Amino acid sequence: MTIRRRFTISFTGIMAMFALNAGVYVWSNQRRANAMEELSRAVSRQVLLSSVQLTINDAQKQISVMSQLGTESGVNSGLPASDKKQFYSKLDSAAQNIDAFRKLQKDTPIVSDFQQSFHELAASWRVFIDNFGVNQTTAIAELAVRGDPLSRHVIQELLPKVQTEENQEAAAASSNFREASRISDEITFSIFIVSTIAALIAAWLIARDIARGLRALKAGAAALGQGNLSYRINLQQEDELGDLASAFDQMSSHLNSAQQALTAAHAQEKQKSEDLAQALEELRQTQDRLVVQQKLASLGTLTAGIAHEIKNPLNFVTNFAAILRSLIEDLRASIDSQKAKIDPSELSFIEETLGDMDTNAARIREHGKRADDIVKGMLMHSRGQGGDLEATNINSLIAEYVKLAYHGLRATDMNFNVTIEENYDPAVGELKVWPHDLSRVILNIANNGAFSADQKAKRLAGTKTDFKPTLRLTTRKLAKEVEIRIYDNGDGIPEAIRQKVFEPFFTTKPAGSGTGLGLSMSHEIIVQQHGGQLRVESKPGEYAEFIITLPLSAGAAKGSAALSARTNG
Amino acid sequence: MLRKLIISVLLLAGIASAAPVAIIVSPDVPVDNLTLPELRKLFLGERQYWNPKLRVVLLVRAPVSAERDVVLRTIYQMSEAEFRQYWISKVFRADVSEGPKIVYSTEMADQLVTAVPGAVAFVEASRIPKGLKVLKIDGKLPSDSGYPLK
Repeated sequence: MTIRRRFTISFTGIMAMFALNAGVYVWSNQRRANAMEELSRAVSRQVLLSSVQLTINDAQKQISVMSQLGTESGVNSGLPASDKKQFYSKLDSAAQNIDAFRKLQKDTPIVSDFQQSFHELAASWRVFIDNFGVNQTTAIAELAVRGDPLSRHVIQELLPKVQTEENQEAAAASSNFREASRISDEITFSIFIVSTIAALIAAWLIARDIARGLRALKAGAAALGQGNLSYRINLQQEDELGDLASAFDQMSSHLNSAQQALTAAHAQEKQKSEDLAQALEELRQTQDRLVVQQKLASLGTLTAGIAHEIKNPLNFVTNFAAILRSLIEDLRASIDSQKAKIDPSELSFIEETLGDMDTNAARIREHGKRADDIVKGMLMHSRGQGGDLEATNINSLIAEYVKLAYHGLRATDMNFNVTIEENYDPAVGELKVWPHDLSRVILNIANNGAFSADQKAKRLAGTKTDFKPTLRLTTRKLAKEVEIRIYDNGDGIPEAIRQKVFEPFFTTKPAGSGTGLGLSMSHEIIVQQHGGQLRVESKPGEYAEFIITLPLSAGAAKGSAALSARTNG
Repeated sequence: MLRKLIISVLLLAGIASAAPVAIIVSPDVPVDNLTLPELRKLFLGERQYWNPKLRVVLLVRAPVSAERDVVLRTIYQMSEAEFRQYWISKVFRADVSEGPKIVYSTEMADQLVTAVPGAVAFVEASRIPKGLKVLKIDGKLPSDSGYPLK
């Protein structure tokens, strides 16, 4: 119910109470007036009755005295006309009063009998008065036979009854007046109490609902002001406050929808921005990669050319060094056969010279061989590799070549000691790769990591740090690719050189310990050949982690295409 | 004292010389004999009913008559003034509803006693109307010796 309707009903109810009270007031006033009028009539009747009683008593006494005193002269001396007139006037007055009394009174049998008897008594007394002193016998006989019995009947019987009846009527009128006053007072008081209670209840109900509605609206406004657009008042009142709350909720809902739309648009724009940034980054990386690849390709081409040109002379160097050593052996054998013919001092010089020549030839061959290895690596780097694309168990391949790297390092350095941690995802399973090339990658990176951790351990040896050189290998199958992580807790890679580690001939190892082609070749194999990615994460002084991702299928195809393109190129 | 003595002598002389007075009543009166005290109560208005249905109507002879004198003397034992005062007072005190009625002659008394039920009057004994009942006083009629109303 609306507040307006409630107020209207309450006001109407109060007005109805007022009207009822006014009606009761009018009714009670009328009833009091009636009771007062009735009481007034009763008083008037009592006055009239008292007057009649006095008149009758006076007349009766007067008649009685006259009847017993008689006249001084006996007969023929009636009452004077004035006395008669006065007496008759008294009787007429009493008759009029009785008539008036009867008009003011309900017509009861007693009153009627009283009036009738008085008329008869008055008539008898008139006969007495008319005959008194004139026909005394008639007068006395009339009085004795009719007048006295009638007067006794009227005065001793009827008049007391009429008075009793009248007293009862007066008492009833008085009681009626008091009753009317009491009833009207009680009704007025009751209506006042009921009106007050009803007004209080109505006021309480209306105030309660309004206060509840206003509190709910205030809470809603506060929540909305604090940005809680999902807040709903849900005021279950069918009134203006309920409508206002409903409108408020609708407004909140619209604001919420608008905010959500704005947020979605903002998120969309943000996503677009991020996509653009990512695209830009990818573009930049691609650009860098292209630059690197172009640089690597140029270097590869250059390296291949140089290696090819160097390899032939180098072959002469190494081969002739070997021939030279063979000739030295032959010469030494000839000298040994002619030893007796040669001067011992000359022999000693010759043997010493041959020893030096053999040593030098061996060094020439050794370094020539090493140079040949470098040239071979350069050629291999520039040409990519060989072998066929095969379904290979990645986990097994990694485990095998990590052990090979460990034992290789261990073979060259007996103090080498690195803990190998392996965590392979069985879900990785087999993947089509060039196992020979991929194994070179694993071997290179594991070798570098183990070397770095070992170097750090040796550097920290003697200190009180509890450093444990560790090489950790992890594989994981992702949605569209396989991820290989090779972690070492060595010295890491400084930020300044992190972008250079994949460049050819870049190495941090001591001179003679590395060619600087390992990571460059690994990058070539993973990115160009397999279509995957190779990146490095590092915190200098703490760790370095190389992350290889290989595509499950498309990468291989891409890699094949890349390889094919490169081979064709 | 002397005045009382003279009055007593005169009264005794009057009694001795007065004729007897008869008490007559209407025939419907259910009483035949009364003692003098009963008669006095009757005439003083102290007895107002012969029986519950029949009221006593006193008829008294007007002043200046021998019968009235005898009654005032023997029954009321009052003077004329005392008699009047007695009844006026009694009427105005409402001891009685009506006083005795005055009659002016024996004939009038005869007529009223005959006409009015319960009427009682007194007349000279020698002029008792016919047909009316004469009450005995103390068991005696007026003609008997020792009749008190003389």
